[in-house]
Amino acid sequence: MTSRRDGLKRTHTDELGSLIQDVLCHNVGQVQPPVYVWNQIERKIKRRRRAVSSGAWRAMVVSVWTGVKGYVGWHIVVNRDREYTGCGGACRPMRINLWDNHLPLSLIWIIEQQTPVLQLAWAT
Amino acid sequence: MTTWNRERLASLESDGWLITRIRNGDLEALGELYERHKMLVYRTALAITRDERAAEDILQDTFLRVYTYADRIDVNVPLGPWLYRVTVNLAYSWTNRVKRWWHYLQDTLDRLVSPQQRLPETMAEEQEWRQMLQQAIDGLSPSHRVVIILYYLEGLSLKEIAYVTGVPEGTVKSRLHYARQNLREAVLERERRLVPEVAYDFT
Repeated sequence: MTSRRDGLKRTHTDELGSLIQDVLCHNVGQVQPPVYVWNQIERKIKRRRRAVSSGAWRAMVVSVWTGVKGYVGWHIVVNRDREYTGCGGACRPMRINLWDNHLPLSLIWIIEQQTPVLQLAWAT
Repeated sequence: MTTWNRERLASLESDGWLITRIRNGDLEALGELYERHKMLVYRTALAITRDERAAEDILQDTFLRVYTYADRIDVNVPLGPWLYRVTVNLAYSWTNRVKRWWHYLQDTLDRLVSPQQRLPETMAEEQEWRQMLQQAIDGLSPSHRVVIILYYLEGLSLKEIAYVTGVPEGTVKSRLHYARQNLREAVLERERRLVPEVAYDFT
């Protein structure tokens, strides 16, 4: 992109080209965007920055909270050797058998704590 | 080194420097870049969309993208083509969203309320000429209109337009040819209506 020219200064030798250029330059050649456009850009960026910083703070709180809950959770797991489903590779499963082997295996509650939101599922 | 090259190099360096500052979250640098290129973006967007509010939105979105994607912008090449590319893409999206009838409706309203009846004869005629040609440009397909605007208003070469629009140079050349042909037809049609016996041929 080395041959950049100023279109408003370029003249066309053909009549149609000159007419087209004249019309376009007359209509939009000297237009100025309103001042408030920049204000809107500035406001949006500042709002986005605030959202990002509050999001980072929230993520930190959640990770600390998750860690605490995870620590507590591993202590209340009763049957750690049982099969569980519905858990991704990256999550940390916490299984709580409220009835301690008095119910069939398929009714074991599994609580997965992959995200801050606790997910509840049935094990088979 | 010619003056033009020196100016271009200086502009290139400072654009690159501003982008680097924007990467570090410098809003003032974005402001400087905005002041430098706002006319280019706004003018192009307005010429394509023919809608001031849309052009303002496109201008806003374009510079928000500069801020968001500053890391991906190559600071070693001029920023202009990248800006044209984003502007044209946003204008395309806008044009696809808006129904064409809206333009016709607006043009009709413009004609009804325009004060050309009060203008002297020559001014009214000139005004009518411009209006007719502008309508013909507006009536072109978006891809043809963009080529006409980038070529005649922005003064880009065929190669540059090919980069901005993302199509081969041959396609740009063909679009320019057909767009010009359509506009020539529109002008001749008007001539025929005004003076039926005169068939003026444009070069």
